[in-house]
Amino acid sequence: MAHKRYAMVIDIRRCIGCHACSVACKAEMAVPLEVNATWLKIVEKGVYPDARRFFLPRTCNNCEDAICARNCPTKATYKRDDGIVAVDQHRCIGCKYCIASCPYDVRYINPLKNIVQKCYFCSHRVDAGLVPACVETCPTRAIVFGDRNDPRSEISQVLAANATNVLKAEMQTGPQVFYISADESTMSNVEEEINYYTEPTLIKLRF
Amino acid sequence: MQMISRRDFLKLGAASTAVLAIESQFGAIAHAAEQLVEGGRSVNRTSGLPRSFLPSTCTQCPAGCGIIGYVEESRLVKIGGNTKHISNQGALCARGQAGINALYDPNRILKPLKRAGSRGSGEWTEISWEEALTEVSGRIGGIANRNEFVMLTDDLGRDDLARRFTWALGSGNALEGTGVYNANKLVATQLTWGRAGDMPDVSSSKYILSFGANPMENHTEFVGFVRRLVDGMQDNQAKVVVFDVRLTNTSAKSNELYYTAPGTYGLLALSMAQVIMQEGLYDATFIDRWTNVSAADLTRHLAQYTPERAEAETGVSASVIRRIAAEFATTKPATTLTDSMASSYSNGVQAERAVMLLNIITGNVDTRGGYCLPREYTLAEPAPAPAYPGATVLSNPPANPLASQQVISRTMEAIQKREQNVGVLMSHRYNIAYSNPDLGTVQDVLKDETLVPFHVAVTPYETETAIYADIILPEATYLEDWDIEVRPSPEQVPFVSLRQPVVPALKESKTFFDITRELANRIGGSVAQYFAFKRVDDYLKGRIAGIGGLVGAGGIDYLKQHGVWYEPTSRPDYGSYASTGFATPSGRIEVYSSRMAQHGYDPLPSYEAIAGLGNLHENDMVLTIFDTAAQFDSRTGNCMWLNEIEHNNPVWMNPETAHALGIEEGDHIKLTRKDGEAKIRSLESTAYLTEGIHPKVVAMANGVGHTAYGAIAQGEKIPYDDPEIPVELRDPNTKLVWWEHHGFNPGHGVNAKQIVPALVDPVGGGQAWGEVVVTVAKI
Repeated sequence: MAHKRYAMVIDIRRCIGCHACSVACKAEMAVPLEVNATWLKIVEKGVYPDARRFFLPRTCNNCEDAICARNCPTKATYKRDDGIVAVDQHRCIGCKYCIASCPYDVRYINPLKNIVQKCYFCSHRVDAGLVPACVETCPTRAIVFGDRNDPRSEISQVLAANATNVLKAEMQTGPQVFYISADESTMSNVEEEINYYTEPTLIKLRF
Repeated sequence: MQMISRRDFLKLGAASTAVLAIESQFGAIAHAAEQLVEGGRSVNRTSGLPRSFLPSTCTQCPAGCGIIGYVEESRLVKIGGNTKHISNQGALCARGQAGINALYDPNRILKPLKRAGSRGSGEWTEISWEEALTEVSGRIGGIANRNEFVMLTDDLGRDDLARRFTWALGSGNALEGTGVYNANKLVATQLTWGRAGDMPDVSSSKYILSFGANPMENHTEFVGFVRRLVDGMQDNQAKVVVFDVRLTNTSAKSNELYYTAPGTYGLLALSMAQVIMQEGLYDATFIDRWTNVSAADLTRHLAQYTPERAEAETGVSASVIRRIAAEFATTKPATTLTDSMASSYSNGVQAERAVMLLNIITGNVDTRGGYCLPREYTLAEPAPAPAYPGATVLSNPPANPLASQQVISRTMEAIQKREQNVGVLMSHRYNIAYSNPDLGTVQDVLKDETLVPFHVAVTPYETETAIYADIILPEATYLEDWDIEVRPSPEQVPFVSLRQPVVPALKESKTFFDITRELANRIGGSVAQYFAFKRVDDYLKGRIAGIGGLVGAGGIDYLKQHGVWYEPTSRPDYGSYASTGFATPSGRIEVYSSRMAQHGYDPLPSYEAIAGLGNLHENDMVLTIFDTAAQFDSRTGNCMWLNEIEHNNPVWMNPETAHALGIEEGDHIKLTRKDGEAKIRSLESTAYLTEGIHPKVVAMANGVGHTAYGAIAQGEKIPYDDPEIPVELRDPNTKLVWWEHHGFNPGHGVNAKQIVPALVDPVGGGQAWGEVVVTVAKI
């Protein structure tokens, strides 16, 4: 039987920017304050009265060709057979090569444990037959998760029926987080983007 | 683009499962087993072992979503949604998931406290429950006049024990905070169609018109409602048009957004109704059969509200008004949304009635996809039920005869004026010194021992209100508590849900049931009989006694296992009014409200401009206070995961307006109220320039700016090894709180409500939040 290939589709048409996924991740993965494995990028674009706000939930792309795994000197970061990019915390020496090499800025040093972490598509839940925590909790069912190698899975059907984008496709890392109808403004400036709701770091594009 | 909807897929999934079962002998069953489960389970991250769990009901906002508490070694480790719950269907918002922060707030109070310094000093002595209950019951027993016992709670409909306890004491002063949220809407709907509230059936709508509503960040049934709203928009291709003063998540996702001058929603709706009547786009049969006005009379009444007049005041062009009105009238089914925003003005009841009128004249009332009646069960009062003690000057202020909720905005002022003497004030759930307008007066009254001789706060936290208590009784949090909950169903099928402790009450904290029972028993006399329950189950059973289907299914035992119950075969009974009539005096929708006429108010939906908003001076701005998806007023103030997302509230300003005042992004500014009575007149904050706001409006978020409620709520770190903190409440994350000195100052925000006067719509008695005129200056 062919390997599974887990992936995620985030349908931005359904995303209401409610932060439920961010908090689900904090709770499920015990992500400390200061850092985030899943977060909401918010871009305000345009000029009054035509300005609009766009959302992009962000998380690890669990890339097909994971640069972080290639660059890890201790093989702490590795790719599972099902495509999930995992980190063996016992092998991690905290050298931060992976953080430097990730084009998506999704890795962080856990300030309480001093090890590198990120989103693993909730591999512990997937192994137990459950969808990731953000998928389960999403109030508007904006996130679909499953096995791309199974043509009958929901994600395969959603991918077949819709145009999707990935972040930094030109890097050819094969991101496994696909977005439907993401605004172009949210798909660029990937590096400068942890946004807290009322902080002035929210990206504003006036054109 | 070919689209497969999530709902379609789930239906498809059910069908294909059946196919798979037939194919099982060819190995397909293995495939079925590999489908990932959406919710209802949780496993330990390292061992992969399943966690034990209990269903319960959330209180982080009013929605009452079904939750599941996942527990390891008697510690709550995660909160998820209950997949069996008909409203939230397994999903849960940020607030609901962060409830775990409230349970383990390091500053949570776990022993009864007695005031040691002056009121508000924050100096306390720990005392025993015995001493605390003796003193409180003694104080209550010593009250001269029964009405001098005053109970403050957030919502009497959901805090039955607060009402029961107050009425058992013979006091009519069970007061609720609902008035500061949506009393005007509740009164308007009650007067018009005989039921308080509404439940737009958005998942089946084709056209949705929002007047200031922002359900994508905040709604009384948040998850359940917004899930169906997005279903309607995506799966049903409903068009959404929003009128608002600022860019919200909802207006950002809408098809069309029109910025509207504050306080003019009613005029806008009436002008659309005028177009619909004038153009003959109305449902003549419905108006004739189910309202108490004739189409001809209504057309005549509405003639004054021309789109041109509306354009002049609202800022929305007459051509847009005509087009949207025609689209609304001809696209079926259609509905409107207001939440509490359209009615948060002193003309709010009429604004709500004007918006209702759009649904009424187009025949969209209580249809599939239309503007539906709220469907919810009514709970019984367990016998023996204490008698209604009668109205008081606080519970039914004579100046507001139609206000069905108390005019809570003015309660403290009335106490200050000695309209009602107070012997004992019990505050429970309602954080009046944070949530009310005119906070300076609220604080003055709570501080004054001649006005409030004794204040007992029943709460897990040292809130802005509890800090002025003489005794704090450490209540269990909602995750350790019992209650029965009913809510209007976004699915249009009513349900009953149970709140049960997912973990035992920590240390010495007690549930409100135990606290009221113990107090009643000590007070004795006729009071004790109303709390003679052996176990909490006996009380809860009494609450659901009138719901035969639930009792038959197993009653409380069923709820303990599943968390929620609804008639499994039940389908929405749209149009049920056809057999029963509307619950109004005439049995029809009272477009002409005889009760409003009786009290001298304009009986037809009408519009009165708000004085002071019409001709704003060049430097005058209108303050709007808004809710976000990451907080809910005072309820979520101490949740660190939420505060990390929303912790401060800089003042939104349109860049053009700001630049005219010499204000740049991040500048320190001062907002000064122009008119109106409130003790505190100005506040200082910083400017946040955004293209998403009306040029004459400034806006600040609610839910932040705490001045008490523990360290987390005030943006302060807590050392992990602080010996003062009980081991059960220690969390290394609390030393990482980072926002107090980040970005704007103060990092934990400013409570905008302090400068808002206690101003209400005289008809509904609900607070008029949206019409405070301020001047803005750089400092």
